[in-house]
Amino acid sequence: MAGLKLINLQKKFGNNAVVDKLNVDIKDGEFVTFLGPSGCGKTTTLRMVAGFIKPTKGSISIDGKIISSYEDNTFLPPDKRDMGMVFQTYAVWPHMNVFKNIAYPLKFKKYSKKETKERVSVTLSLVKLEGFEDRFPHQMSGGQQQRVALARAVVMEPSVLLLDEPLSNLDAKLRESMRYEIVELQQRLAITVVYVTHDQIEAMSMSDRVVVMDQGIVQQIGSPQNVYQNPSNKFVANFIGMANFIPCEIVNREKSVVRVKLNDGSGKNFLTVPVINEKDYSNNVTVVIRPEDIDVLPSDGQEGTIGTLVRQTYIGDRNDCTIQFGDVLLRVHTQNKFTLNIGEEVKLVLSNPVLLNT
Amino acid sequence: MASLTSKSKLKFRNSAQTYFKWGVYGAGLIIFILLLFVVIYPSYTLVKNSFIADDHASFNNYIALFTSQTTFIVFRNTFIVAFWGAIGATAIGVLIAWLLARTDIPFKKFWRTALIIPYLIPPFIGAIAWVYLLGPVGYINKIWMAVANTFDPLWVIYGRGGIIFVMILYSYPIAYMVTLGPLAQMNPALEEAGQISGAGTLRTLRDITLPLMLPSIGGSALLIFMSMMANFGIPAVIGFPKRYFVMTTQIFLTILNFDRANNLQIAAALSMLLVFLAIITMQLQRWVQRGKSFAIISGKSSQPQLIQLKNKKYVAVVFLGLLVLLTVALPVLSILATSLLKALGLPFTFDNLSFVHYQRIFTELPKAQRAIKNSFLLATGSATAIVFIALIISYLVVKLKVKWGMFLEALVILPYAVPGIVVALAMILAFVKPLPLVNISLYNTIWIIAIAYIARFLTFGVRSISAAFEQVHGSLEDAARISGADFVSSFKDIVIPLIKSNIFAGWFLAFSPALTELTLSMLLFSVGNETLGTVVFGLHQEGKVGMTAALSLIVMIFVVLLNILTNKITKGKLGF
Ligand SMILES: Nc1ncnc2c1ncn2[C@@H]1O[C@H](COP(=O)(O)OP(=O)(O)O)[C@@H](O)[C@H]1O
Ligand SMILES: [Mg+2]
Repeated sequence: MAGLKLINLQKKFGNNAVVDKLNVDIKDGEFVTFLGPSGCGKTTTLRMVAGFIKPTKGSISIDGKIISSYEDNTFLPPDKRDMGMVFQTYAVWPHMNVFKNIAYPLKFKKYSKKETKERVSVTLSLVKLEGFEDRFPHQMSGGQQQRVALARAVVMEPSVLLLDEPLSNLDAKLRESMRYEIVELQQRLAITVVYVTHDQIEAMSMSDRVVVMDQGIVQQIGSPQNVYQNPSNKFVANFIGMANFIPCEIVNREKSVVRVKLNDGSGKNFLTVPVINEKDYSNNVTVVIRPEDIDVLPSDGQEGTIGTLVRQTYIGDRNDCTIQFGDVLLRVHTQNKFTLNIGEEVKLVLSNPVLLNT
Repeated sequence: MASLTSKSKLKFRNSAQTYFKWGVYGAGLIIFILLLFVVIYPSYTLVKNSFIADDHASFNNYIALFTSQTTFIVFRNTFIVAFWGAIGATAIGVLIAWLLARTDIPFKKFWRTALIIPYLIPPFIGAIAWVYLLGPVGYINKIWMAVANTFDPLWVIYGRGGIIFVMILYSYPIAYMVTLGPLAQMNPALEEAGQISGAGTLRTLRDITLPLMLPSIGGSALLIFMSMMANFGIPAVIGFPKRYFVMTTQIFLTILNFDRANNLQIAAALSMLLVFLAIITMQLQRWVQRGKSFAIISGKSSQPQLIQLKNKKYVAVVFLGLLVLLTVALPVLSILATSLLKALGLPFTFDNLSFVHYQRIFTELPKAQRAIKNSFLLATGSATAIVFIALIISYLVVKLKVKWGMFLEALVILPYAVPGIVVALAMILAFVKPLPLVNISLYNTIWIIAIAYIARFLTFGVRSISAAFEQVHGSLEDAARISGADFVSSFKDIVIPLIKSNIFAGWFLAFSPALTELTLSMLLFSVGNETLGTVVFGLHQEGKVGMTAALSLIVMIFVVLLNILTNKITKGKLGF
């Protein structure tokens, strides 16, 4: 069990920095997920933590003890880091049965035969594979192999558990149930987890905190609610969930509230947006509104925020509308079941706006 | 009216395809008869003869063999040589593969090429080169005697140790080539999982990498074992002077021992024993590679991390350098030196160097000139025939998926799977008597050599062209058809261009070994029908050292040129 600190981490391949200026402070027992599109540097980061890649700048420490520091020229190899790791391809050894696979890390911990047997059997029940000791990997399904990989990673009670897209090779149904199992396991072992995925649902549903990355740079660190409700930039807003961006101008700023004029061409639509005290905004800003935070009503001919219905799809649990609003097309998910006609003017009700610099 | 026209066109297209198909079936039938003639009939004759003694069916040949001390000794010699040779060659080959695939050893590109070269040098020429180096008056021994001021040579290569030594030098590339792929493509996560579990670099190598590689390593060891058991050139060159015989050379001597009653029949029985051994080894190899072949190769093309050799780098470089020296540089230099030296034993001064041996080859040795002509003719002719036969066989098996495809493939593999000396004996036994009906004897003609080459190397052509047909997915032809091409056009425009490079590759794969073939030729040649292999070997046996070296060098130059040409034509797929 341990806290993990990544300080100003950088990895360059040649001249190309695929991870840069990475600072993350992971608390003991926390479940932190690195989330970002493919190629953004998640795996590279995780492999620096594991010790498979040497950083070209910065340091990593566990509980204050430095395990990797470019500046101090310190580097602990993976076998000395006391971590567990689950690989995307499972990497269950095909020449060993389940027992041997899981018992392997214990070989380096001076366990007696009896203790080894006990630990393996406890761990197997933890991943719901009781009685599978003598099976060989080729006799198991992908999901079962994944559990073996998980068991092998936690059997020696590592200080940190690392997982690199562990569910991406499983089918959709299994993936969902494994999500809960991994979280449950983490909570039972009270272990620190660093998880890597490009799947936002996985990240949101499992993590205590999410580290959103793009092009090697951390974009935002926060709880799932936080990154969803308060994205710190357009990338985060767009990558996590769906987002509408409405360009606007600030007309008035008070301490923690800003009044903006929406650039929809009418010049008559204003919004009041809560903001953080200290944050500075330029004159040209954008308002982010989630599709479910817009409501569509029949236009009663009166003044208001008016758009034109362009497309409407009814998908059972909601009405998925596209609305022309000034120069932008808004995506709207509404529960309203009005029958509206394409081309008709509609009245929009906007809530929970977030202000971002353009 | 319009519909009528299109209907008649439709009919025309179908009939073109049908004609083509029946054409292929017809050609297939002819080839089947041909295989009957060059594979089945000789095999049958071989088996039959092993059970004939004094013109009567009997077990006497086998009884004679099993009660003879010589059989036991030869059997043991074969096993010892092949066993230690396979172990040595596999160890070296795997080590090289590991160094090149997994470590940061410098000059990788150079090693990759240089370490394959021994595979191209005909083994009997390599053996002759080593006689020049480590024979009783070989260069190394003479230098040793001068330096150590002694009359005792360092090591005379003749006999068991020498056979093993030369076999290792010329077969480690097999192990290297077989294990390089799996080593380079192994899913790196398998090893990383070991490291993160707490195993250091060496421990991971021992607990994970090596066990995962075991099927490939074991498979290549058995493959080498088989090829060593079947090798004739090396034990002939290195073993004869010390009367150290293995199965292949014993069969050879038995065939030539005309004074002995039933000599061919006894040789046939001995051949059956050798084939039996080969079959067992082959089955063992299949079992090793199938039963435990792990899916260790990941779909993702992630590269394993290279192990830093640090200061051990120099040891590794010296090791590989030594191998290149032993397998390429020293042998080639010794042949070159010998071919230029007026007479063996003279000191290396400028006065003693001349091109006299080359000159004599082209002026005094008509059989050498005939051999060059014959070998090129035989290699060209058999490679061309092989490509045509292979095209039809591959089409039948891969595209038309005929029911007897498996049988056809077995017939193709058989003459290559059994040792060459056995094939040669089967050919002799089958064709020594005039052919029935036409009353022509193939024996003592160049045709019997051609037939033997075609039978033996056919598998190279079939393998290459079948692979091509397999790659041309049916949908490619379908796409051409739906675009409006008729069957013939789609075959001409789509299939042929796509398999062209494999046809070339198959041709060269058959041509190269045919050009320097020794074993079959040794038993099948006759005056006027000499081949390069038989003349080099003959000159060596006669003790005409200078000319042997000169002709060997000419053969090696052919091989090198051929490889460059192959590389150009197959666009880097083969040769270098
Ligand atoms: N060994 C390497 N050499 C050069 N570039 C690399 C190497 N490994 C990864 N990269 C590059 O670094 C970037 C980040 O890769 P990675 O960390 O695997 O991304 P992710 O896991 O987020 O998909 C990618 O653009 C990738 O091409
Ligand atoms: Mg990745």
